Parts: sequence; C-alpha cells; structure tokens
Amino acid sequence: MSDMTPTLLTVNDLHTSFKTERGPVTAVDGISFTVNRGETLGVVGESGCGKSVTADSIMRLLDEKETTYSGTIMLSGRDLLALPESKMRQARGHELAMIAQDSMSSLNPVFTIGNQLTEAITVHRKMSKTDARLYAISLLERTGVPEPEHRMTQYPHELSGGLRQRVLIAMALSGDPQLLIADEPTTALDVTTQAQILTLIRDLQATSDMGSIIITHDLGVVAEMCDRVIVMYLGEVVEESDVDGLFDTPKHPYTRGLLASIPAIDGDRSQPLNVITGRVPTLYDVPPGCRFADRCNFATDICRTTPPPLESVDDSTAKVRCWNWRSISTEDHQ
Amino acid sequence: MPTFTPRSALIPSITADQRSLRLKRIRNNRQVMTGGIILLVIILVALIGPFLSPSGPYETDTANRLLPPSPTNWMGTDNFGRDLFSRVVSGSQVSLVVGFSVAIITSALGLAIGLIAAYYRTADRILMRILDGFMAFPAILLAIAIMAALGVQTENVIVALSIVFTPYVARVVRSSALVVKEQTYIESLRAQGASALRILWINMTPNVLSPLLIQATFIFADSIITEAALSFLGAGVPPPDPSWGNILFDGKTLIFSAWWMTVFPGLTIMLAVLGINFLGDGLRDLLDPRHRGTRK
Amino acid sequence: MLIFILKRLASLVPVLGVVAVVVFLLMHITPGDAAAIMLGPEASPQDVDALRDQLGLNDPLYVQFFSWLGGILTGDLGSSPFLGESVGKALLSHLGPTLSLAILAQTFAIVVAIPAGIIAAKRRGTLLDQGFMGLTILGISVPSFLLGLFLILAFSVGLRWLPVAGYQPLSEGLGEHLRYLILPAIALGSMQAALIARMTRSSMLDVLSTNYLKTGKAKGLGSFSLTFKHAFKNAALPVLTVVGQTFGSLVAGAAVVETVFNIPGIGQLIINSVERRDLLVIQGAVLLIAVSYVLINLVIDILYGLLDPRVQVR
Repeated sequence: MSDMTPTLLTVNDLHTSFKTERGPVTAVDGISFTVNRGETLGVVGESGCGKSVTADSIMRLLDEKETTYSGTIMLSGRDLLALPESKMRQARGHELAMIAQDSMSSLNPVFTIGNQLTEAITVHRKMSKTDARLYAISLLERTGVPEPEHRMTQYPHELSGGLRQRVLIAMALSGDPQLLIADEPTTALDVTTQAQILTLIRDLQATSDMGSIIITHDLGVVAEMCDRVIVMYLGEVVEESDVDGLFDTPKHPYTRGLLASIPAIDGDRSQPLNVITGRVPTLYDVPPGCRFADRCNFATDICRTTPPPLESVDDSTAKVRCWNWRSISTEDHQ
Repeated sequence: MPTFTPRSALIPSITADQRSLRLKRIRNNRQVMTGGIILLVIILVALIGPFLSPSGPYETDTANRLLPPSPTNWMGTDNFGRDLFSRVVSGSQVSLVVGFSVAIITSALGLAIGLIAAYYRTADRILMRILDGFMAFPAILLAIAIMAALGVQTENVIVALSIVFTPYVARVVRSSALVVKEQTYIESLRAQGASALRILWINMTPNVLSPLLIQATFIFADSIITEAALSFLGAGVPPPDPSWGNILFDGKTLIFSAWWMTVFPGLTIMLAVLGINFLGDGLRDLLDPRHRGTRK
Repeated sequence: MLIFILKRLASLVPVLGVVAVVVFLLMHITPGDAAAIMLGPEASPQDVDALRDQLGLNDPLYVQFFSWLGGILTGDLGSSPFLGESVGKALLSHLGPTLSLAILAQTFAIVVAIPAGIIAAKRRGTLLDQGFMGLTILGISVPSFLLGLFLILAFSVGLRWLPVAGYQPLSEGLGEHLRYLILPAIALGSMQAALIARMTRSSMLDVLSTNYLKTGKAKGLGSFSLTFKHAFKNAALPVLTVVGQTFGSLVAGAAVVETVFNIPGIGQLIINSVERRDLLVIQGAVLLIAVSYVLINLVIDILYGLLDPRVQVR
C-alpha cells in the first residue's frame, strides 16, 4: 500500500544531537533532502561529517535516552520521527532497511546465517519455518551467494567478507523494503568484490522501484551508482546535485577539493598530490561562520563570521552552501 | 583461561584528550584517595592503638567478662574479660604484617617465575602446568592443608599464603611480559646481543610493574581475608594471640549474648578489605585505563 | 566437536598429575615425622613405627608416590586411624550436605546475579545502576564466613526468623532441609553473585554497543528478542567463565561456611582433621575437591565451546 507519488523519502531540517560527557553534541545540524522511487541518492563526506548518523536517524537506531531529534522524516506520508517505537519497529526491516558497514561485526557471531536470515523474514511475515527457510535460500540465490543451502548452516566467521556482505543485503531485502540505506557497502571489501557488490545492488534496484541511499566516502562508488548526490561536511549539507553536474561542475570548494584530490590516471607524476589542507574540526569546536572556512582557499571575511545558507543554483535542482560559489565557478578546475 | 592484557594498556595513550584524561584521573584518584586513606587510618590505629587502649590484648579480667561497649571498653570485653578494642588493634597488626609480607613475597616470586615463563618457551610449558596444578586447589583449602602439615603458627600462615597466592601473581606477570616480548624492540635488543638478564630486568620488568602492583594490592586484601578465615577455623594464628579471625571464633558461640564480639572485628575486616579493594580498583583505572572486568 | 572435547580431556592429564604430586607432597612437607605428628606426642614409639609401616613411610619417596597413586585409582585412599574407617567412606558420608549447600549457593548466585546484571546494563548510569555497583563492591569485599555471621546476627538472633546453625538432611523434608540451608547458601553465594553480576553487566554493555545488535534492531526486532536472544547469548560467554572461575571459591568457602553453621559436610571434616592432624583425611578431601574443581572447569570449557562456535576453530 504505497502511494505512487515519485517522492519516497523527505528529510526536512533534521537535527540529531547526543548527550556526551562534555555536553550536547549536534552531529547532524539541519539537513534536508529527498529520495525518489527508483532513484539512488549518494551521501558523500569524510568520517565524522554525520552521514552515518543521518542513516541511523532515519532508521531511528540511536539510543533515544541520549539522543534528541528534531525536524521531520517523511516516508510515504508518515513522519518517522513522530512514530511510537512500536510502529517504528514494524517499519524497520519492512519499509526501510539498512545494510551496515562492517559485515563481520554486523552479523551475530553465535548464530548461523540461516538463523539470522529466517529471523529477518519471520519478523515481518507469518511463515512456517520451512517456508521461511526456502525463502531465505531464494534470497541468497538472488544475491548471488553460491551453495546457498550450505551457507544457511554456516556461521559468519566461516564466510568471506564479500559473502557476508551479500548475506546482509539478502537480510535487508527480505522485507521488501521501499527504501534501502547502504552505509559504506564496499569499504571493507577488495576491489573486485566491490565491483560485484555494486553491480548486485544496481541490478536489484533495477528490478524494483526501491529507492536507495548510498553512504560513502568513495567518489568512484558515487559515479557508478548514484543519480543524485549530497555532500556533507561537519553535519551540514554543503552541496546537492545530480551526479553528472557534481563531477562536471562542482560548486562548493569542498567538493572541488575532493574531486581534485583524486589522482588522475594520466596526470603528471612529478606534481605533488592535491590535498585539502587542515583537518575537520571536531563537533565540540564548530567554527562560527562557514564550517569549511579554515581550510578553504577562497574564504573571505564574511565566510568566517556568518554561516552561509543553502541556496538553489539558478534554475536547476542543485544547491550550494557557499558565499562565493558564483565567483569560484568562473575559475577552471583540474 | 588466559588473562588478556591489551597491548594498548602498556603503551601510554598519546592521543587521549587532555581534558578528559585529567577528569578521569581526578575521579579515579578519589577511589585511590579513599582507599588509601582507609588503609592509612588502619595502619595508624595499628601503630598507635596499643597506647590508646586501657589494657593489653592478653590481660584477662574475669570479673568484667562480656561487657558491652562502654567509655572504658570502647568495643566491650570478651569472654575472658579482655578488652576487645586492644585485641582488635592487635589483630590489625597481625593482619597488616601478614598481608604485607605475603604481598611482597608473592610479588618477588611471582615476578621471577612470570618473567622466566614469558621469556623461555620450554620453561614456560613446565611452569604453566605446575601453576595450573596449584591453581586447581581453592586457595583456602590449600592453605588449610599446608597449615595442617606445617603446624599452626603465625609464621606458617605467611608461608602457606605465599605458596597459595604466588601462582596468581606469576600468571599476571607472565601475560603482561608476553605482550611486551612480542614488541619488536625486544627483538632488536636481542639482535644487539643484550643478555637475557638485562632484557628481563631492565626492559621487561618496568612494563609489568603496573599489573604487578595492582595484583599485589588485591593479594594483600585476599591475604587478610584468608588469614582471618584460617584463624577463624583454628588453622591460622593460634590463640591466645589475637587475630580478627580468632575473635570472631570466640564470638560465634556467644553470638546471642555478645554481639559486639562479632560486629566490631567483622566491621574492621570489611573496612580494611573495602579500603584495599578501592585502592586496587582505583590504581587499576589509573595505570591500566583500558582494563575492565573482574580481578584475577 | 568430539575432537574438541577429547583435546580438552587430554589437557587435563598434566594438570591432574601436578595436583596428585602436590597432594602427595602435603604429607611429606611436615617438619618431622608424619606418623609421629598424626599420633601426637603421647604415642609410644612402637605405635609410631607401626603406623609408619602401615603408611609405607619407610619406602623411598617415588615408591610411596606410585603406590599411593595406584591406591587412588582403585579407590583406596587409606584408612584414618582416628575415624577407624576408610578415608573414602568418610568423604562419602560427608559429601551430601556439602553438595546441597554448594548447589543451593550456586543457584542463588546465578538466579540473582544474572537478571540484576542485565537490568543494570540496560539502565546504565541511573541511580539503580549505581546502587547495583555499590552493592556488588560490598559483596566482593565481605568474605563468606563474615557474611554468615552477620546474617546469623540479623536473622537468627535479631529477627529470629531462621535457625542459627545446624543441618537437616533431605530425608527430613525439603522445607526443613532448606530452612537450615538458606542463610549458609546466601552467605556462601554472595561473593560469587557479586562477581557474576558485575561481569554480566559489563559483558552486556559490551554487547549492547555492537554492530550486530544494531543490525538486529534495523531488522525490526523488539527489545526482548534483542536483549535475551542476541545480546545475552554473546554476553553469556564471559559470564560462564566467571561462573567457572568463582566456583572454586564456592567450594572453598563451603568449608568455612559449614563451620559457621555447623553443617556436617566435607568442609567441617577437613577442619576437624586439621585439629587432629589427620593428614590422610585432609589429603583425601583436598584431592577430591581439587579433582572436582578441574572437572567442573572442563565442563565449563566444553559448554563455552558449545555456545561460541568460534572457539572450536582454535
């Protein structure tokens, strides 16, 4: 029972903060974005920028005794943040599903794959044990796991990283989710397996109108998989664009820095690598003006004093959070 | 079961946030402070107490048997009319002496055995089997058996407890020494031709000192408890020498009529052990910040 | 699995060997002649010699060891000159009360400690948790015989709810049997309960922050299933280790607690034998306890292997 508007998920002005020993910390500070059906949104940023926290907030996985949310997260017409926990529990694994980052630590080491998979299935469907088992095997086949029946009896530590990741994907799909969130799905894998997993995710999405969010720091993955991208820095969205636009004409200095730091395969080897100087400030020391100002080559006075708003780019759906983006765009980039 | 000492515990934390480290230091210093103060008070009382009490721990006074606490007898008198306070203070001297002695002896022996076991593979196999064998006996039972064999005297209590507790210290030393050994600087020392003794004494020992100190603190506490238990059972400090355990034994048959003979030595034991445990816990948090969980 | 068990059994042999040697040596570290000590200073030289012969003390040490070992393996632990019966018989007749006490104490410890630890972990940082930590520190610091005495003061002398001491075998009825064993069991089990509770709490805290628990929540599992199925099975492993490790103190503490409460178990047998310097009984009892301790640890090891599939790989 899903309404057939193209918009699947709307995150509006989400703030997520934690209580810590040193006071409250706002890891996600007012981000908004949408994901449409059949579309893949990429969320890019360095560690600590709040992308995982965003994913956890959408799924409401954080400890609610220590976390405060504000804003709305609309999924198929319901605000997820306003749901009572019992309803949210029904939604998890069913309408929205998540694939975690580290497959080794994301699977319970003392239960078999079969046990964990059938558990995921029976949480949301009434099924006999045998039917659940058969369905689990078919899911494993769908995600490209060889010898699925044998795998069902194995423990997580007996499988390779790539297989475990496929199992996680199978578990995520078991509830027929409308939204799939993949948190760094390929980080722990070697290059060949990475390619396989990405292909798998893409194929799975092609056969349904599932919307997905892919969280990554790897721009290569973004180029492969995503239709639209948001770039995050220190808890804020600094740029939003369709994928081609992002790579062709990046607007925010941070994005430009990220792209420039990718060594070109045919580049001049005698030149030093381009890096973004400085380090990400911690969430305890959020700078007063633009959060990127300290590391920005184009920063001006206003950047250090007043935080820039997220503004739309002319007639397109792209957005940038920068005072000077227009003047920067007229320069060439590598 | 192997005890696990994470490598990181031995490498000073350079990336720790300065402010939170200081906070943690202060918080745990409170534990160390509390424990330390309690211990100091007990030592002070043990030293000065005999001068404060009206009579000695051995002086019987049958006319004044089983008196409840009063201004003259702060803790009352026992079944022989002896002043309980003096006996408890005397008992604290015994407990402290036994505790310290055992802690020192087991530390020395445990250090030697642990280091040798960590450094020499073949010795390790044999030593560990022997240690495992010793640790298969519950501590107090082994102590009782040794006391039975050697004879019930205070000096033998120290011997018995040292035998019983050394394996635990050796184990701890061995684990931390093994971690140090794995580090490459030991290899480079050997490559340079440093003698085994030099490596063991000068390089490995400083690193195992922290866990050793912590373990010694807990052994101190355990010795006090075990000595009290042994004396309570008649297998420890022989009467009429006072020991907290002895007094408790005397008090047991009189528990309906003389509660003070149970309460005062009992509370003193509790206080002493609590204080030492606090000290040990605090020391452990201070010296070994990643270490969690139970002792031994 | 079978190989795992066999391997564990094989590793027992050297440990048991050392245990046997240590127990054997106990007889021989006596300053002076063991037989003379056993019979006391008033015994006549002929009696002492006779006992020496009977115990084989005139043979060379290794001969003594092997004949003693042989005796043990055939069930003959010698005869006590004091009790007039075989050591084995004496041990058996005293075994019942000790077992009852130990089982009751262990049950008390587990039943109280594990739920308390789980709740404390889930309500970390709250007043309840802090109270829990304070209570456990007390539990660890108060030795069992002292706790026993305090419990007697409170419940038998003060409130007069329960008997001061004594023992009623099961044959007299379960109610009576338990009435005499409640205070001793609590006294004996409290330290273990405190240690188990702490380990449960810390183990649960570790598990509650893991990624696989997050995955479970993401799947849509409810709090009960997450805590008791997923979290607990992982948290149980270190807890099991602690149960095994502290069982030794339970056995040891039983000896002392029996004395406090006048329970005619093995502990009391040992204590009485110390006074009489009946080294044979002490030897037999200590051997029995050490061997059972080793065997129990073996069972715990195997259980651990069953619970955690990763262990068997090693």
